[in-house]
Amino acid sequence: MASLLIGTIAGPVSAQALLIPFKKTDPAQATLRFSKLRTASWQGKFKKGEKNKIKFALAEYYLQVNDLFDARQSLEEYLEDKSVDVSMLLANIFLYKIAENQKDEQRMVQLKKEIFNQKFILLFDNYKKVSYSSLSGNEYDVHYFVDRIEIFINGNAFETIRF
Amino acid sequence: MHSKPSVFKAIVAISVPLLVSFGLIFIFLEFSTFLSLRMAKVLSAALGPGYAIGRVGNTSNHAIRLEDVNVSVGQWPCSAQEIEIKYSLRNILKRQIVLTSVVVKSPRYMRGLPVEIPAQQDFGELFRKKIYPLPSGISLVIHEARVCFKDLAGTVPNFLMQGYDENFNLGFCVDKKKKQFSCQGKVHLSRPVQNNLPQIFKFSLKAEAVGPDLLTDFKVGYGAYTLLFSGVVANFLHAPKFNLQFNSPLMPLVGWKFFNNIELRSGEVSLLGRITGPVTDLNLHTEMIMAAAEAFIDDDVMSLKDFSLRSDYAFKTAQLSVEHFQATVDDSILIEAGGTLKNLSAPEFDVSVKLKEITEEDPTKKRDPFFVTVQGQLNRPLRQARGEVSLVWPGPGLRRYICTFQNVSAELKGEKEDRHIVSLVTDKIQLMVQDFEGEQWQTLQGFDFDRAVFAAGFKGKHTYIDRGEIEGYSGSVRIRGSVYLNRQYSECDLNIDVEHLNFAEINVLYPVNFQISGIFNGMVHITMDNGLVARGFFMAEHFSLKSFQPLEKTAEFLGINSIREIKDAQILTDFHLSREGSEIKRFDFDNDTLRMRSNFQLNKEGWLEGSMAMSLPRDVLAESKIFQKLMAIARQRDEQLDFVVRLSGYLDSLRTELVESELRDALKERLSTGIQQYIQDKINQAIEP
Repeated sequence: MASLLIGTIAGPVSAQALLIPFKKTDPAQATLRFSKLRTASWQGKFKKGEKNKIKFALAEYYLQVNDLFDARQSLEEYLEDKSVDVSMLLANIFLYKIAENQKDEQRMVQLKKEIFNQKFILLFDNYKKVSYSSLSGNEYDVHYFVDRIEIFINGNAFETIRF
Repeated sequence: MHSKPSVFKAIVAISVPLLVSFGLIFIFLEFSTFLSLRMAKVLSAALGPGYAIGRVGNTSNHAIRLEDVNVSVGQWPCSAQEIEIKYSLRNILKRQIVLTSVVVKSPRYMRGLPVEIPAQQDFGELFRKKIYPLPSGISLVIHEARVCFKDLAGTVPNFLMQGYDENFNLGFCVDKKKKQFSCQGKVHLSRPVQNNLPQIFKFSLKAEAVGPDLLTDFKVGYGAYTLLFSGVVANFLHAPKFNLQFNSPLMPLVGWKFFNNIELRSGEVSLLGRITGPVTDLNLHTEMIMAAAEAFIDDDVMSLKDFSLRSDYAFKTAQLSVEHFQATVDDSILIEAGGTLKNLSAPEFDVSVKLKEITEEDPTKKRDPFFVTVQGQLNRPLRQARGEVSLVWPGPGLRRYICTFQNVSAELKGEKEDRHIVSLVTDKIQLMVQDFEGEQWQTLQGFDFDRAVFAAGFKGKHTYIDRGEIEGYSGSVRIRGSVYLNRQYSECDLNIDVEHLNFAEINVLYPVNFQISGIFNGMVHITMDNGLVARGFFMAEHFSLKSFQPLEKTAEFLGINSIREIKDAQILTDFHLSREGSEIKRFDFDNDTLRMRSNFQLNKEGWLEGSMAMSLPRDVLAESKIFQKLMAIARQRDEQLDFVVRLSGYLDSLRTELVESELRDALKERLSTGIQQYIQDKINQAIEP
């Protein structure tokens, strides 16, 4: 039942999967959670401030099932809302990974500029750390260095992006 | 024996009539010569003083041929080898001889005769009845005659090329009865003609009056080139108004040369246009189109594509207006131009040229155009020009950069070492940054330099700047080197020396407002290596910087008044700038408040990596309550405090890391992580826009 549902909503599956260390959950539970989130999104039934979080969580779900087409669409819609928290950076990084997967170098250059668009001063440490918890239960840690960004998902190193 | 007398008789019988005949003919010829000369004298006398006819030859019924006719009446002395006149005596009782045909052969007139386009009444005169009263009381009437001039030769001065006269040879007929006019002839060019082109212009014209209008066909030929005209001269008798169209078949331009060093080696041009207006105010409209051409400029090849020229020439005011000119040079630059050229003897020009670079990646994607405006006057023999030149570069958004040369005097100095030498002197150079605000251009920033002198040589696409010197601000900028611009590859080797430019409290309004003073010296070497590459160094002495907002904000935030403005500093920078990536190898800053050593690298994507080592006196930092407190916590007692900072990121979002600082290290030992985080957050909040 779950695989049928995924097959229906997920669209074409990319040949090369993105290896993202998302939290391992029971597929049936994940599908149920996704279904609830999608319904909430469609019906506009969400708590104040949760709208973006729902969109991000939906994108996570698509990435989890390696539906890069819907993941990309969902992330781009998410970025339209101009959130100010670190999830914007994460959305851009996921889009960057999708572009890398699809060998879209032009898009990668554009996204890199978005990823490195924050200016800051480091006085006492050589990086600053920002965390984010998604509605899907994934924990993100972002380490901002002056020359790179390191992303950890659920405690596991996911990506280091340098210029 | 009987045969001899009969033979003799026969000989006599034959020879006597022959002799008599020869005798009679001789007498007749002698008489006719006498008669011819006598009649010539009679006729000359009958025509009055100023007319001299050599002889009247071979007269017949109602026809007379006058030979060696000379007329020295009025201002136009002239002569003719022969005039054949046919006449009718039907009005002889009215004491009129009606001429039915006049053919004037080889007429000549004195050199220097002014040739003018016939005035309004003169043109109609061709077909009007004319009566010439003779002193004898008899009048000559030309009404329905055919009047022809054959082999009319003369000389006219060339109104375009002073000092050159053109010889012409033409014949024309006016058939007054049929109201037809025809003309054919040729002009021999006396001035030197290049390109191995023929020195003869040929032309033929046919015109026929239809009611008040004149229908015309006109053909001009010049070697392989032919122009065909056709049209109407409306109301040609009273107020002629022209409406003539002309066109040409494709005309080959191979072998054409310009300015001694440009030679076309391919290209075909087609021409069309019209001549309109009253005879006193004629206008020539011309359109010239050429798909592609290739030319040699000295040893270089230059391609020309999509060439088109639309112009108007007003004969009355002698003004040439170029409505539109367009050409693509070497597939890389689109040139568009327009303007006027007045007074051809000492041409005054006012021309605007627009240059657009066509990128190789996408020919349809054109960058913003670069404008050149030139106004002035050319002096004969077209080797000197005076005027004003304006160069306008487009900037981002509604911004532009202008360089104006005032009172420019340019002169072609001839050739030296195969180069065409040009000298240029200008009284003033103005550099401006302008923004379009409130429907007009506002000057944001301006620099005025005084006299500038340039001596340059040109060979093909090479420009050699032998001397370039711009004076101003108590100093000078010297330029020397060469530039070679070609589609396949370009070269540049320019040395620019800046000497003692003394800027005193210059208000810089762009890119941000501030005020600077200082004495600047430096050197830049510009070369070409996949784009322009600039290497060099600059030094500034007694440098001061005021009203620089970022510095004021920093000073305000830190509470250090001493760094609100920079006073009496020395700056030294050593740089290498290129499209592939730039490097500020050294940017040193020294004054009483701050000592700094820094270097930066900027790659072609706009990512900067750099490091800065700064040293500030304790007294300066102590102006700030925050630093005072932090130094007390850190128990820092040194007179100078040093900081090493690393910079990284895109220019508009730089990330900074304090890499080395004894003060920071001491604070780290004494402050809790929470306080450290608080200080860092506060500073980061302060740098937010």
